[in-house]
Amino acid sequence: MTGTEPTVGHPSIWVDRVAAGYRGHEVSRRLSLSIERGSRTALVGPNGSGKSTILKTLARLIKPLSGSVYLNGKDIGRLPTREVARRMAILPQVHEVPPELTVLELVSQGRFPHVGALRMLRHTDDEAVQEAIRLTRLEHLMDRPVDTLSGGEHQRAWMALALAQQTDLLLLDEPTTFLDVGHQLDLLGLVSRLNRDHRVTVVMVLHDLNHAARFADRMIAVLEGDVVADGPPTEVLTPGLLRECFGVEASVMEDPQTGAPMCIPHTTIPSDR
Amino acid sequence: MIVLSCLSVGVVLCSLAWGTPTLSVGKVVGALFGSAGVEDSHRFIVRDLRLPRVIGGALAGGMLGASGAVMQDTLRNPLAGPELIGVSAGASLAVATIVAFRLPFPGVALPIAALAAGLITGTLILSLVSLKTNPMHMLLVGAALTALINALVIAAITLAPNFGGVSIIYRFLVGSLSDVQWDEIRLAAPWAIGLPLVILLAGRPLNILKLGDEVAEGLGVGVRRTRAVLFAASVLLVAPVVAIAGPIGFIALVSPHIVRRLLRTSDARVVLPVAAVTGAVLVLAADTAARLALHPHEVAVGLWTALLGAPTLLVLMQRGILRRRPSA
Amino acid sequence: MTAVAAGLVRRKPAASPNLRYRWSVAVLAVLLVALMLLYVMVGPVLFAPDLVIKALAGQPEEPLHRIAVREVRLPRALMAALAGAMLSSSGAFLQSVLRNPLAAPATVGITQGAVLGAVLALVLTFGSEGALNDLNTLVPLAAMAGGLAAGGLVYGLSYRRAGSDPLRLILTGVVVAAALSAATSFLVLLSGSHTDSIIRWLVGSLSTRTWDHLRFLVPVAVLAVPLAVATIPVGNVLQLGDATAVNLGLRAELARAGVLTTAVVLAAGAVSVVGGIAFLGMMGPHLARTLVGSDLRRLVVCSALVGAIILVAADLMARTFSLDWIPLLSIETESGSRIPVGAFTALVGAPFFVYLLRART
Ligand SMILES: Nc1ncnc2c1ncn2[C@@H]1O[C@H](COP(=O)(O)OP(=O)(O)OP(=O)(O)O)[C@@H](O)[C@H]1O
Ligand SMILES: [Mg+2]
Repeated sequence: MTGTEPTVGHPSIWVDRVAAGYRGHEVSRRLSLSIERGSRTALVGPNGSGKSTILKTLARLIKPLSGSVYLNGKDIGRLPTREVARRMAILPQVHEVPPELTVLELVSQGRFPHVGALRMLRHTDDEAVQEAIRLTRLEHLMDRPVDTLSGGEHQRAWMALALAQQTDLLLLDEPTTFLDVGHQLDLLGLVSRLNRDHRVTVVMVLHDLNHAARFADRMIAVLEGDVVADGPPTEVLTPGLLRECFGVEASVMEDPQTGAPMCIPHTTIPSDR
Repeated sequence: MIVLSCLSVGVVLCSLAWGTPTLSVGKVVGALFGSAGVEDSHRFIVRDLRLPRVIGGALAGGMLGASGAVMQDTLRNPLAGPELIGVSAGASLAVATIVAFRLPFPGVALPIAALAAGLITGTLILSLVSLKTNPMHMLLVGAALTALINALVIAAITLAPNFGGVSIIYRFLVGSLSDVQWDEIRLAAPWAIGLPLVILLAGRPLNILKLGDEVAEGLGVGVRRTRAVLFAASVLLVAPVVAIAGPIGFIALVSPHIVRRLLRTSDARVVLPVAAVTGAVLVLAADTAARLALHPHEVAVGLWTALLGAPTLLVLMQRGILRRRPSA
Repeated sequence: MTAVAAGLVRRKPAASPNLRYRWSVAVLAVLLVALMLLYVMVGPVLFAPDLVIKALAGQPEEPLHRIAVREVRLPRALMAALAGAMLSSSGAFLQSVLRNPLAAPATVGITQGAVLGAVLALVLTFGSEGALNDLNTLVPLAAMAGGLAAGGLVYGLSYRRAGSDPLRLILTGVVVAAALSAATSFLVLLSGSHTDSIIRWLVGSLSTRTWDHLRFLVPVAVLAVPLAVATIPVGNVLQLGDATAVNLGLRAELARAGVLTTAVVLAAGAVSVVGGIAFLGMMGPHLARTLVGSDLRRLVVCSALVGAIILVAADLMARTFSLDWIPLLSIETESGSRIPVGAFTALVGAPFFVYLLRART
């Protein structure tokens, strides 16, 4: 979207034999992964399986314990962090906001990587901020302090911050939590449109498997830090995987409208794990 | 336990013996038990100058140590201590005002005033911060309150018609045992009964409170009332100390931690008495150092406890007494 | 029906934050100037505004007026305003970078470090001639050094392999503050009979401040301005959390160190001439936040104004209450006020602080 010329031939993100995790707690042992330019990838898996950890590692929020992550073919750990911020935005799972900060002020911070520390916001920055607010339908809440918003409005404000960054890579950790069903579809639709119209590459953690199957063109199932299935939704969303990964008996069928696979969980399997 | 009792006997003897003049242990014992062949001046020094101070120090340390143990468990905050949450400072302000302005109160009113002021400050801080928010909050509010009250103490002292100089500042800002004589002991002694009572009675409810409010309610403990009573008890232990010796810091805060670390237990029934003894030992050691270090000047004991206690606390913090706390 | 619904939803349009900001700054600035004028008018001799203006313009009706206004009251008023502004904006930076609205220079040890430095210098120079007249420039220098060192100490002690973090910084700060003030009391012991001037440092006082002190403070303030300008956008991002800061292309640890430096310089500078004034660093940013919100670009400016107003007003009160209202026409009484201004900020601060905490919960 912005003036970053795509480096032809390289995947957007390439994860090369990375051990991801925290000091004293390795979550993912040896992860290799490549995210193609213009793709929509959904990470799914049970709680604590390591989805957020993987996403944070991609976004250089935590350093790999070993191995490297490459952004457009360059080691992300060696790129100037501000340059990375102009190409990649992440919506983290948990947020902190100071009291009394308004939505507009929050979203404006998304321009930081473009503006630099010393220059003032320019007209184009203003437009990017307004656009992000419009896309997340927050116009009427612009001047409200963020800490007085509802959970869903809060989530959308942070989404707007990521959008204002105007990057060609978006990493979203459970973007639909707290959103009602309408806003969920709204947001995922928005993500799809960004992907289609602006070729924004999207990697998102989703808990709703049906949403994942419908809005992503690739699903990656994670279990205990390892990738256990990877491919188009039709191949990944199977009763076998649901059993292995989530411990539920479910039937999978085709959504008559979109053609995407769709699952209906029936019962949990008494686990021996 | 054995180590601790040896230590306490040793400290008591040392603080009786060292000073000007330094006496032999034999002479100290002789002076104490009135055996013949001890000079009158030595007997006077040991019995009337050093002994009350040692008793006062031991009492103060014991009560502070127990008070800290109670407060930390009651508020479920490892950094709760009367000196950090403003209770000591509040009590000190009351006493300082009475003493500095020579208000016409009888001596017995001092601990009562200290208690009242301590309770008021304590209630204030508890009404300001919820126990469920992070432990840091209480600490910051307490630090702010303490700074504020200290400014008021200084204002009160300087505005008083007859400014008493350095020693009075010492006594009311940092705590000092130099004014403690038999009169002061008589003042504080009745309150000291609280100490064994608290040690005997508070252990069990504290252990239950530590499990969390819901569990405690489930076990049939009225959490609000129990907490209020225990908190008041911890203030009650601090008040007489402040009345005779000022807000001696870091003893209440650090003693329980030392005990928990050394004995590897957090059982309040064990921690309480041992923390009391530890507190007494610490205060006596600090006071002996205070008398001797810069002789002939005397460094108020509260300074030593703070100068040594603060780094100790930092070390304990590094070792993670806060680790299992919910993050901010 | 829809109209009603729309009316309910839209409510009264709130004044835009920008407009609010401009109004707040304007009103606060006017208030500050008015207070400073009042400050210069009031004293053992009351001056009418026209006399003040004449004296300021250098055409006093009596030479005594010129001295009272230009040499005694004016520098002290300017000092109060500048120091108040610095302390309060330091608080704004600290609160944002430590992500805690209760953080302030005096709660994390910066103030205590500076006071320790000042008292140390006082004690060391007691023997020498003129040590106690407050023109001793060694004292502010030592205070400045003490404040900076305390800031460094707190940061160093809370630094781990993964960097520092706000929670640890605050906890370490509180304990370091306690230790430093104990060390200061230790020095009081060595002060012998000069306790008075030391007490003024402990609590904070503006009495006997002159142009010489201002000459020390102004360069620090001037140095702090570019620091502040550079760290405001950084602090703005940092207050959204480390993850967001990194996401937005900031090296979080470096940024934190930068913002902390600004805060420490501001606070140490202010304390080095006025002493350990309590509460201002917490109160100022709080009031400012209720006016203009948390965006640091606005908050810092507004905090500075509010801080200046509070300290000028508090010192005015401290002076007024110390006058004894005896119509002595001597200027000597101007120089010393018996009640240190810090006691006043504490007195005003206490109820405010309580109110503030209640309002938050
Ligand atoms: N900061 C941390 N330090 C140490 N361990 C952590 C940390 N954060 C997460 N973990 C652990 O790493 C593992 C993976 O956590 P992660 O947050 O990646 O899970 P997740 O798949 O995103 O789960 P959820 O669906 O609940 O968001 C978990 O066992 C978790 O306890
Ligand atoms: Mg997660």
